[in-house]
Amino acid sequence: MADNRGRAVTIDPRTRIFFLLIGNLFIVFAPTQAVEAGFVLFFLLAAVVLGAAPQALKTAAAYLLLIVLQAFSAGWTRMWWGMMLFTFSQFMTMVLPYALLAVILVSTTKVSEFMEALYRLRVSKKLVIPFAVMIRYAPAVLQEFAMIRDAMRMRGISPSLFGFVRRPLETVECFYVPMLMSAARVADELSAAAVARGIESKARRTCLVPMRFGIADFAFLALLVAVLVVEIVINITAPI
Amino acid sequence: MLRYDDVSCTYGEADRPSVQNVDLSIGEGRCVLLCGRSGCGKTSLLRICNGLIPNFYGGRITGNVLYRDKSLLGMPVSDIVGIAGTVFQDPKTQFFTTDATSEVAFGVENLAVEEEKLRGVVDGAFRAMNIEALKERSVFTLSGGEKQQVAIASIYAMNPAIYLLDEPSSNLDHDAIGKLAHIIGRLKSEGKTVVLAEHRLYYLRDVVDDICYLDGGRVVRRWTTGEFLAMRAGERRSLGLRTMNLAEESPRVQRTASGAECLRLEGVAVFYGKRPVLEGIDLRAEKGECVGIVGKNGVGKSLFVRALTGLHGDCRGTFTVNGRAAGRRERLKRAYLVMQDVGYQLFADSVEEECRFGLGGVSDKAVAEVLRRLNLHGERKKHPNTLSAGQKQRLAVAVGDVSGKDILVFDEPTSGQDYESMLLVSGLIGEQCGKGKLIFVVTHDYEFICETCTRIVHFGEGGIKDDFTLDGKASGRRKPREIFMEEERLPGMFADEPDGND
Amino acid sequence: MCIDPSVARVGYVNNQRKLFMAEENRRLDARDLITIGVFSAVIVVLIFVGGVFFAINPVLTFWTPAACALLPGPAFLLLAAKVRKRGVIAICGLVVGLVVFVTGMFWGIAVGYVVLGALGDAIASSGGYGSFARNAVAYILFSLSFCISFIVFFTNRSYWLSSMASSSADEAYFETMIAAAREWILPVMIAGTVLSALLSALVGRRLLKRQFEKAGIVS
Repeated sequence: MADNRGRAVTIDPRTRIFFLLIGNLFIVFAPTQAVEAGFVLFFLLAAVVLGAAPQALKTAAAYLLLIVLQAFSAGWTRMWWGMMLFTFSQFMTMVLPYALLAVILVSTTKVSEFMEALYRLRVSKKLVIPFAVMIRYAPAVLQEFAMIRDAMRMRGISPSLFGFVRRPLETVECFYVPMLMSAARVADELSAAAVARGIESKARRTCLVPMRFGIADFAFLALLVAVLVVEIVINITAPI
Repeated sequence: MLRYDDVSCTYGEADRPSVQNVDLSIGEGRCVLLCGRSGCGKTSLLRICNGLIPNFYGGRITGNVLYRDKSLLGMPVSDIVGIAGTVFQDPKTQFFTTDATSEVAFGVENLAVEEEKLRGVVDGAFRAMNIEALKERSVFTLSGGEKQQVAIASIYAMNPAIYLLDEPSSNLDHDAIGKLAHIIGRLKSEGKTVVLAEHRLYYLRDVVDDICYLDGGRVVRRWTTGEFLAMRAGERRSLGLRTMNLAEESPRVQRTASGAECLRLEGVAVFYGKRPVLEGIDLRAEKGECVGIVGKNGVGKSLFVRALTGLHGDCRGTFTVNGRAAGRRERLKRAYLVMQDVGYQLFADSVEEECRFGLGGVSDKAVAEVLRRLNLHGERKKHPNTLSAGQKQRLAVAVGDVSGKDILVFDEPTSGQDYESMLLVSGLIGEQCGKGKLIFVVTHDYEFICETCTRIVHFGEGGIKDDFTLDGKASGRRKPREIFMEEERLPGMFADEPDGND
Repeated sequence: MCIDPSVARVGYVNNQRKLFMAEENRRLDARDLITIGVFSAVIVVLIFVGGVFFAINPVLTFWTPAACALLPGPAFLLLAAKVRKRGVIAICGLVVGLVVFVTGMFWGIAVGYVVLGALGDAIASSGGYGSFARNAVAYILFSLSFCISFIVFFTNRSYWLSSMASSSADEAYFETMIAAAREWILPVMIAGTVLSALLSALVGRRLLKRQFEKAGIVS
């Protein structure tokens, strides 16, 4: 995740998490695509205010492109490729607003802030610890892929689809054995290191990043909840 | 004062105790080195102190461990962490968070230090370790040495009275080891007690007070640093210990070159992305040579060997192997890289199978022969993962051997290995040289170079900075010392670069 | 060097014999949680690596769940075999679900991982995490989470039609087309995912037997 530089307004990470949740509900209850597009615009505005403008703009550009693609392919649904493109673009436009919300959260929140926010929301250690480790270790898995690829080539086994078709059993073993052996070793060593730095301490851990729920947070959350209520009421009274 | 009082310990189901009747008193502010062969019990002694035995690694302990007359045994680990902090071997696997600041804060946060004080404590740790430039940096851009410094800062922030360091230098390069020595000195000057388990000893010369030698779980000898330095080299070697004084060592391998050219590089440039990392490389090497590749982190040593072995394709210039132009594919066939993390290149479910895996047409006789020669025949039915680090390395060499490669490249083959394992690697390389192979070794280990290499290629400034034979002439003795010892005298002077390509 | 933490631990304090922990440790401790984290990372990366090529391709989008199910099986089974405590798969599902949610994939998938992960955990734990059949069923359920976005998509008529109203020249044709697509795509997609997950689990069983048990990683 990212650092705090360039953020115009500071709001609590918990508020950002609620924004992701409630924003998702906005889209779920959006009666038409036009309303949905309106919400996407609102998210973009929020992204600019929160300091995630560049990342959000990229997602918005993709959204726009898909809408254009959808409109174009709608005229060609008689052709198989037109049908494919239409279904695909429609599916993607369905999914992309959620991605936009996620981009806002991820690009404005440090991992440690996110963890602390989860702790303060009374999320159990049983979820927060594995999640933190997951974020820490996932990029390392990708680095390991590179090493394993080297090792396979050294052995004359091609790390490609073609190589797999030619020698499926060997390729499968080359891929999984080093990766999972390493994962097992990392799990043990990381556990020892974490235990030796007090992860099992019974005391409620503290956090370096100060966290305060201020007026801006209350105002923003109130706005979100109000919009959601209005939307649901409209949905119930005038179903489409 | 930290006191081990008649401590013995047996792991879970092991039949032999790993520590036996150890009595040891360590005064406040002292730095004590525990040394001995792999498996002598030095790591277990640290784990008994920090509570990982029996709380993490199951085990039975008798006797007692006392700090200021308070028993550490039976305390939960989370209470011991405020008294004794531990730094582990592999900096890669002790990071819990994704940026340096959060990592340094991690331990103190667990200790539930008040939020108002946290910032000051964390900043203080960065300042004390002299790594303020690393604040907020992503873990993924830190070099191994920088990671280790951050790991120590994280312990420092928790302010324990005792520091337990478990082979902290094994994955570090020469410069980072120099900085590590500085940090240990700093801890001592603050009155901290430091207990180290270590194989590489040279960097500890000016910081260690007492040295304990363990064998079979017992402390069998003790020296002061002065006594240790006065010990004859022969005696030290017979105990399986590395030198504490690099100046004692000088290159001693002299092989007459075979005259038969194996490899020639002309005008080679290696690129990473669009950026040329190495340019204008000309190199000629003969069969039977052992070439040490040295240079600081980040100068492109690893990239060079990856290009040499055909793993990295983005390069220009001509490679010639055995008189024939060798493109990338040909080099992949002719050369073999023994990786630092050798576990990544072992795939099969038995040692025997490993020698056949992916190669096709290797006879049982050839496999048996190579395993016997590399002293692995007794382990042939075992799973490669159950072997020791040295055995894994030999197995990787066995694979290179049966697949008939002409050029073998070793990446940091001695990291984390004791003196005798180092000699074994050295002997192994000597034997492969004798068979007419060309060997390259990427290493930071001066002692190992003295024991093994016939030639040094020094990388730096975007290419080969120097290239000389270790032929017993004055220049061949002086130059490697200049590379390793001058830097060592001035630890902390050299910026630690991220080892992006290494 | 890894010793089963459930082994009774006996220690001595002040030279008096004391049992540190005699009972079997059935609750998830820090080591288990970290192990779940590491393996979840592997599983997440394998899900993404398997699926990314399919997800962005119009022709192959609907095969994404099957592609995502193909790679993580061995990691999933090894995790279950290594931790063997109640909740291991449920927490893994929660972690993967949270990642899926935070990285902006359809929320239904996240809900799927949480619910189906918990269900799979109940099934696998009934066999003490030692029965291949039950662990494989848990993995298949876990993998089906990815189908949920497509199920929502295909069963939600208004979504299909909302943007069609203006542009479709031939509405009757389009309606039949959709009906047909709905009828066969979903079952084929689910069957494909089940098969793919089963294949992955079988590969996992082979690796566990041949490699990881022999290597002492799991007993």
